[in-house]
Amino acid sequence: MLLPLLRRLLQLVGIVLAIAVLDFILLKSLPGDLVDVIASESGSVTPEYLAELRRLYGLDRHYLEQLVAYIGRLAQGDLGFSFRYGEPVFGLVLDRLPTTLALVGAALTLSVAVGLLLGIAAARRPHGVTDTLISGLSTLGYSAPLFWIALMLIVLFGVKLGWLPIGGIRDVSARHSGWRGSLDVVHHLILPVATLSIYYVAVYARLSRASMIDVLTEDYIRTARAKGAREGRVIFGHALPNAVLPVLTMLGVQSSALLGGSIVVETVFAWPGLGQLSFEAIKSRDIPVLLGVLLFSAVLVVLSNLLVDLVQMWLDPRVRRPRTASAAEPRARTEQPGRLA
Amino acid sequence: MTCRHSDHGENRAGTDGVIERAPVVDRRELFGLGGALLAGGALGSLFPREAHALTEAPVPAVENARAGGTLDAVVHPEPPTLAFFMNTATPTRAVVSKIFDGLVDYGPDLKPRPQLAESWETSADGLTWTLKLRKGAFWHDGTPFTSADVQFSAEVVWRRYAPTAKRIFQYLTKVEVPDAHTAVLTLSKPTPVIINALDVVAAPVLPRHLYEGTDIPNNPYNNKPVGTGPFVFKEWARGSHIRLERFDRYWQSGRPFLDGILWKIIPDVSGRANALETGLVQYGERNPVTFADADRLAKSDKLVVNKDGYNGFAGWLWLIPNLRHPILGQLKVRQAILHAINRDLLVKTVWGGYATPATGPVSSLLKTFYTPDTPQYPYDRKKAEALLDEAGFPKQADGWRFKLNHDFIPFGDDYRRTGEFVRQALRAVGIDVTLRGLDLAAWTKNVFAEYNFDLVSSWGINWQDPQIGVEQHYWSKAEAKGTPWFNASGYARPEADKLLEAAQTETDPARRVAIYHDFQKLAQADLGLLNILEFRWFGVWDARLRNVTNTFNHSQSNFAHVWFEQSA
Amino acid sequence: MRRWYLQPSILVGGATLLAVAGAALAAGTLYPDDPLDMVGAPFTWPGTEAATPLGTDLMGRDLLAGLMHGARISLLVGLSSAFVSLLIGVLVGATAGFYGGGIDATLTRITELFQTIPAFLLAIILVAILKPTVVTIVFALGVTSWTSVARLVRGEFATLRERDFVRASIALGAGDLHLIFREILPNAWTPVIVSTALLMANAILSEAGLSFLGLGDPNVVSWGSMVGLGRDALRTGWYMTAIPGLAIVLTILGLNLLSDALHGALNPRLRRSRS
Repeated sequence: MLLPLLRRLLQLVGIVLAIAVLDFILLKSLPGDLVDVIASESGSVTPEYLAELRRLYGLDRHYLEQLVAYIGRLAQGDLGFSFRYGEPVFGLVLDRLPTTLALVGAALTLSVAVGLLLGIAAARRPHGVTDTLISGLSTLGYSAPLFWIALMLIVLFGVKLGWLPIGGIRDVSARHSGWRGSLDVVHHLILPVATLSIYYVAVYARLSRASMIDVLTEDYIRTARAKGAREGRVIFGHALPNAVLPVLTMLGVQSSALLGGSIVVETVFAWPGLGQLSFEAIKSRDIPVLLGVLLFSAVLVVLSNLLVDLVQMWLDPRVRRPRTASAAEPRARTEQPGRLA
Repeated sequence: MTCRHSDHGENRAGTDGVIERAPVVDRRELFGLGGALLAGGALGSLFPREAHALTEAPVPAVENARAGGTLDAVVHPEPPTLAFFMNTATPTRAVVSKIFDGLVDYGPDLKPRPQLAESWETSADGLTWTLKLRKGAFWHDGTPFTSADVQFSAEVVWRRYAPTAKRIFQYLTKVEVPDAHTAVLTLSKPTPVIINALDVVAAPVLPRHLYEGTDIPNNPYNNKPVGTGPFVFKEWARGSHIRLERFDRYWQSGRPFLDGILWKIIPDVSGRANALETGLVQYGERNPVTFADADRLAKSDKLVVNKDGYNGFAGWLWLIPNLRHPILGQLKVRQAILHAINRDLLVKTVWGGYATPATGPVSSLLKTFYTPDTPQYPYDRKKAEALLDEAGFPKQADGWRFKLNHDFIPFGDDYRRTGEFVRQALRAVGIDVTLRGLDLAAWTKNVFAEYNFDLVSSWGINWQDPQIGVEQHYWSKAEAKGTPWFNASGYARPEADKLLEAAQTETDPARRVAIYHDFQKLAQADLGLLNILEFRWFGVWDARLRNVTNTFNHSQSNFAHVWFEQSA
Repeated sequence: MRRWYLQPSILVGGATLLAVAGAALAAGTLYPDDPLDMVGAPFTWPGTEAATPLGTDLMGRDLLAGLMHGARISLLVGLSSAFVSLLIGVLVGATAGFYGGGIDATLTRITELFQTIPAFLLAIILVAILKPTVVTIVFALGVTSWTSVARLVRGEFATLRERDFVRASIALGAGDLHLIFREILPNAWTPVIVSTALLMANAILSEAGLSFLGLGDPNVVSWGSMVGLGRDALRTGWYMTAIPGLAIVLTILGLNLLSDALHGALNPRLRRSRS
């Protein structure tokens, strides 16, 4: 158990390095640089000033030299400096991380819980009325683009009904603090979380329905039933721990898509998180920030996959052995392309 | 031979419905030169040769104002930085102008109003400028403001960083400070434009005690500025808000009236409309909402939608033709392009009526310098087709005459739609236009660094003087490959250069205006830029907010005179 | 047992997709002019003018014309970028699964590397590098969504390679290319086919997302760009957002229903063939 952990951590270092090099080359091929953006926005600049900025930002050096300097700083744990924001990248990313985590964390927690329950309810009688309803609705939820759900929710709850705030993270003029401040944030969270949840609930309901149906046909469930175990105990005690495996795998897979998915939602709801930060960074050619976000998300993905593996080992002893066909099968369903938008 | 600004003595009904009494200012004329024709003050802003001595009553005067209330305002997009002395982006101007005062400010008539400079005078040869600086002004950290700050700013900041000052003060040779409240600027050539370029952003004044000897572009105070203006910087939560609070030791006693300004960052345009409508914010500058929403909000009696207060921010939209291009290099083709575009319809459909067709590079809002008497190219599709035929580009078998790329400036959907409009208009006369949706960095690099474009749509600001906002697009010596907003079309015409250079040093205001009139005629005949339309920016604010438009540019006004009517 | 293709989900999904394809085909005949042309008064609500039954947008462009021409872009982008991802995914997955060992390890690492980069972010970066045109968007979406196919195919190849019929071919001296393309690939198609519909759905959604963010091809009408444009008029004309969005939902729904049905229909055989 310790060895794979160590191997994973080593792998992490390799991935971080590879991502850094790959992304650096990729980002350097973006046409124009930060100085072009600053010059364009500013409306009036002088050539000398532009040259000075490029020298200051190190953009006048050969890009291999820049790459070596970047890797060198990275080795010392320095993510670089954003000249756009006048702040170290680490602080900038750390600043936005909780905002994104709040949004995505709330949405995922809600979605996994609701999705599992719906999936279980649907799996109990496949093709019954409940199942048809749940499956139909989740296919619908699975089919709508996030940005469109967001806009429709804004029209309904923000514009027509006027119940909920449609953007931002808090009401800054009210200057709430303490629990009222938290309540204010929660109020602002409702619409973006609802947007993400409509999609994720659908994903997890579909997934857990399928895996629950699979598990419910297995021998040990039949044995449990034959022994006269009550239905609730069969489902939550025997079937669920195994049925939850693909859901966990999906969570791991989705951790990388989270950032992508949150770009549109954060943009629509003016939610100052990592998605918005990275989108702005692309547009303004703020390469260190973009690299920082990409590295952060890579680490996040690797760590969450590691966590998922650990939980799986704990939940299902079979995973420790070479995978059998039946254990691989529910996994295969999660091998479907991840949603981008 | 006296130049009294008689119009300052009139009572003017402010656009907000408040009667403002003009200040009682004693103006002594120091160097009588101006002709009688100028006595009316119509060309007042052109008079470098006069001194203002403020005896009482702050400018602009405000009556019956009530103090109190915090203004929640919206700024968009989020300022990239608050280092306004290097990056003069418009949102940066909006925020920083409340924190810093300039040497002078300008009224709606674009005439200078004393701010940190109480008065100014020029020597007869135009080579020496003496600024009498305000006593009793403080930086927000309590340090007194003195001539040393101006000297430092002029010698270091203007010369090396501030983009406008760098051009305007190119002939500045030395700055002397005979006492703590006098600064004497010496020039090697007369520079009459200076009087129109002393505002807070064009000629920034920074606190010497916080900047001298530091790495200025990385100075920690760049993003937590310490200024002399009516509002003190408190915090900037990126992506959320910028909080300013009233400066209690502001040099104008009793001002500012507001307790503070909270700039909220709302990137989404419908979010801004919602915030204004629900009263979450009470002020939005420079087209804060879509034109459709502006019309809708204008119907509310709680809100004001107003186009005033932007005479010093006269924006205009143009197409840059790449004159190096074998087809666009032909005058007839450029004339045809203008004839092909129905600019009235463009104003109506894309700009929601918040614009007006342009007659030339100088906006009609810049009254002093504007002349409508220039060659015009009204919408006439037949004429456009005829011109293209004449130029030797008949329609081919496939229905097209030739292909062009069009790169619209990626500053938002209005510009994208303008690009789409131009595409449709030119396709209608047989020019196969392809839009290239470049982002800002790629667009900037293509247009200004590589001249890799056919036709570009973009915009600029006249500012208070054509020399500040128009010259660089037409002057062949302004061409500086790699530097945005400088002559990118490749226009180089000795006659135009001669006029522009003459205006730079012409000390007679009337002659200077005449030169710019000639220039506008030439510019419209040569079509180095295809001038399309003048913007009519609008602001939206709470009906209780007073005195917003009493300025040359309320996106860059210090708001010391703005106040809330509390009761309503 | 009912025939699998008579399931309601296949019928509904197929009918929806046929309707979308029909709209795309008919667009050129019904609306031969550029759908970006302004043809009527702006802000015409649906059902108020006979000439523009679905109304006009804030520049006076016909929503129905845009919708039909947009169907072309959506289907084109969906099909072509699904093809690109299949191509890359099958090549990478087949190579890795067939050869195993060091090649497998390297390719698997590369696949994992791509999986740690948020795909949508990567697509945005690629479009920004290559400048937005339909072709570059197809490329960007294809290049960012092949990893799942690669992993699927690799798994299939790794299993099938050890099967008797493959071993028999090897014994007969068959070359690698013959083994890969003639022996194994035909037997590994099933999971790939199932995920194709999903790949298409994702590509259409991603294209809409890119266009919504203003990163689409400005010379063509796309459903995403229509939603993005309508967003400016959310308060005065929400129909401009709702209508093209609904078109996306219906198309994706059709693809998802189809994919589900295929999955259900092909999977039992998949299991049978394996046992």
